[in-house]
Amino acid sequence: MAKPKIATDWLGGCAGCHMSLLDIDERLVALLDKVELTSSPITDLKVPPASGVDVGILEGAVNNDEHVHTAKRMRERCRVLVALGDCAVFGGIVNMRNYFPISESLRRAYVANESTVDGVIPGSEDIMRPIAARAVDKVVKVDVYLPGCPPTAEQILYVLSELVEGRIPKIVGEELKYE
Amino acid sequence: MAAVTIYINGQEIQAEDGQTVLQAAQAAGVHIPTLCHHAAVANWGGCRMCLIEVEPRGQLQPSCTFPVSQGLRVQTDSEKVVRSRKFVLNLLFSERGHYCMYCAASGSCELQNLAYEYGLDHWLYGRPNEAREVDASRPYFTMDHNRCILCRRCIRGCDEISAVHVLGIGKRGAKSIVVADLDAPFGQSSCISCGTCLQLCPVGALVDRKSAYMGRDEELASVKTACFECGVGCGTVARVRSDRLVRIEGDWDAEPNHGLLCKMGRFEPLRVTARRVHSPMRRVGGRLLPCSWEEAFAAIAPRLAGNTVALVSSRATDEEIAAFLETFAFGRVALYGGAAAPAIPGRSCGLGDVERASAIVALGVELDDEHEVVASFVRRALDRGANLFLLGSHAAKLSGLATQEGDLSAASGLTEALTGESSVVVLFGPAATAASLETLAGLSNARFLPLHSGTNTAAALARGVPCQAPSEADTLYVYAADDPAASVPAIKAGFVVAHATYHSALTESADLVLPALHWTEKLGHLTNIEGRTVEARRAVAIPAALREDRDVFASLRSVRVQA
Repeated sequence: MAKPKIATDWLGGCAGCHMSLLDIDERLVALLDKVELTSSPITDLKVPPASGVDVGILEGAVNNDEHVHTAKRMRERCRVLVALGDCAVFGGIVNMRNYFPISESLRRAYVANESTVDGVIPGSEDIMRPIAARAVDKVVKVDVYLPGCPPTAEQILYVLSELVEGRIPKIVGEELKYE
Repeated sequence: MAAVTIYINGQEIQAEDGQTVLQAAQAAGVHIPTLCHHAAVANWGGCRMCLIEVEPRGQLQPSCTFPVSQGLRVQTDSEKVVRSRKFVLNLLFSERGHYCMYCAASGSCELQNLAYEYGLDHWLYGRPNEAREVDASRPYFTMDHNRCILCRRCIRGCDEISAVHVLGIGKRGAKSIVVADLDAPFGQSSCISCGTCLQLCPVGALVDRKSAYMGRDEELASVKTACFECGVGCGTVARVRSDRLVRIEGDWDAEPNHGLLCKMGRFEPLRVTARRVHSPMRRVGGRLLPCSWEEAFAAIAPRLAGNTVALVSSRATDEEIAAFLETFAFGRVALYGGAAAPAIPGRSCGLGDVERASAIVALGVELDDEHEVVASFVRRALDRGANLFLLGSHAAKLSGLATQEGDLSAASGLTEALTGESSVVVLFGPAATAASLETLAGLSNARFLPLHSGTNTAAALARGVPCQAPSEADTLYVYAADDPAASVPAIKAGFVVAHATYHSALTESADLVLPALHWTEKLGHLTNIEGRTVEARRAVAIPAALREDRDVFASLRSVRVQA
């Protein structure tokens, strides 16, 4: 039997959840005996295969039109979608931006930044366009929620191990943390 | 109270008539989740977290307001109840920006704990993106309306505990927010910054500026101790981490304050900027230089003779005063940093009697900054319809609520108005005159409570320490304790020893400085204005190289004998 395939991608996040994934440490080796990691932002291949994967994992909030595309592509190409971390689950820290108009956020980041001189807000049609930040499940259906900022390596390993065994995990009790 | 039998989840429980289902459940050890409920304030039944199912019809009722009755049968964890609570939680999370990952309350938040308890791994409903105001106009703590759940604990605390009635709800529906006065910025409102609302807030809406992000509840040790900022002797809980004071909270279980504190007791002790005295110091060539304890004692020993005047701080504990008096029995002692009210002319009373009085006379007292907790007891009495007579007192915040205001001479004209009152409490301070008190002493319904200035002034007076000091001395020993703004007494002296926690004008003028402990490092007792003994417990370890003030007095005693 072929090994279950896993793909990860990130949206508006800090990569901390992927760092936590790497914190599984040596147990990653045993995990990779059981699964095939087809693609992720931290491997050579970045895009989930068109042939599809069993488990798709998304880190980060959806906060621009490129993220909407990435989230939809992952949803189309995976059977089970995991929202990894507070930003993917709730919108997280990225949601702070929603308290200000997008134009104001851009001005603060590219013009009024303390380390910027003669700043310009990027405005090419070729680059992504910011939208209000939101949780992944406001754009596509999510099957498994793993909150945490970041989720611990133990939680991630537990969720992946359950998925590999064909079970849909739910984080409850002492394991449930938003931070 | 008649006993009634009720059934919680089928279990027979004996309850008392007049109890709520929540009270009966808590007494029987049955867990019902709560959010807007707090034992220190009246129940409101607003958050719907404590819902129970009342059999046989299955109505949902808030257990915090639903009274027990004979034969009542309720379910606290039925499927319907749990489903309703989860629905309520999802609604609460959907209303405002409850993002835990950057909240100061995370880890000690009642809303977060409930979400964990009910397994909310995501939120069902959308997030609002409307930014609400963060009010940082108050120096001590901030209000982030984005995190408020409108549980009204703060409002109830403001009404019932501090009784200043500053807080209320403004606007309507989903736009409702907690406001001060008629929606004034908190810092410009009639708020007295007692911090009662801060202590009651179950979430991260009200945030203490000093202790935010300095450690969660579970990381902070709690030491029940006493407040050293005035003579009321409020019970406090010192929250400490790694031998550092992080926050001061009111002790809900303590007499006489039951959780209430004032800004001087709750916030100001964490804002002392004076530098600590780390070791004994001797003046050499005009400059204070560190020396050993033994060198310091050797320098003092020959000075402990002849005309010695020794001042004892009103911040000293009962035990420190006793040790001080033993050491300086050979000289003349006087009180430092305190002032006594005149002797009690009639029956004494406690702060609880202030709250229950039908009339209160304030004679020469300071209620604005020095005794704000007492002012709250007065306000609670006013809320019950009491009459207040402010004579020769500083109480600008109570002005306007008084039946009569005037100077001390008006006391003689009050007897007629007070004769018909059921109970009169006379609060009198150092500025009260014996004459003004005498006229009221004749009233059979009057009782008296002295508001001395200073912390442990009552204990010093009880041990015969006079308030007036002589004007000249060969040697002047000032035990200033941890007064952060110790001033130079108006006493001409040839040699001055300052025994103080902080560098100040006093230490600058001293010939020799001995380090004293901070109140968080002390073990001992205080005697409050009611005559009540309150316990001060050590919350923080004594810094290396420092000695207990009592031991310093004992050492001085022995070096003097040897000299």
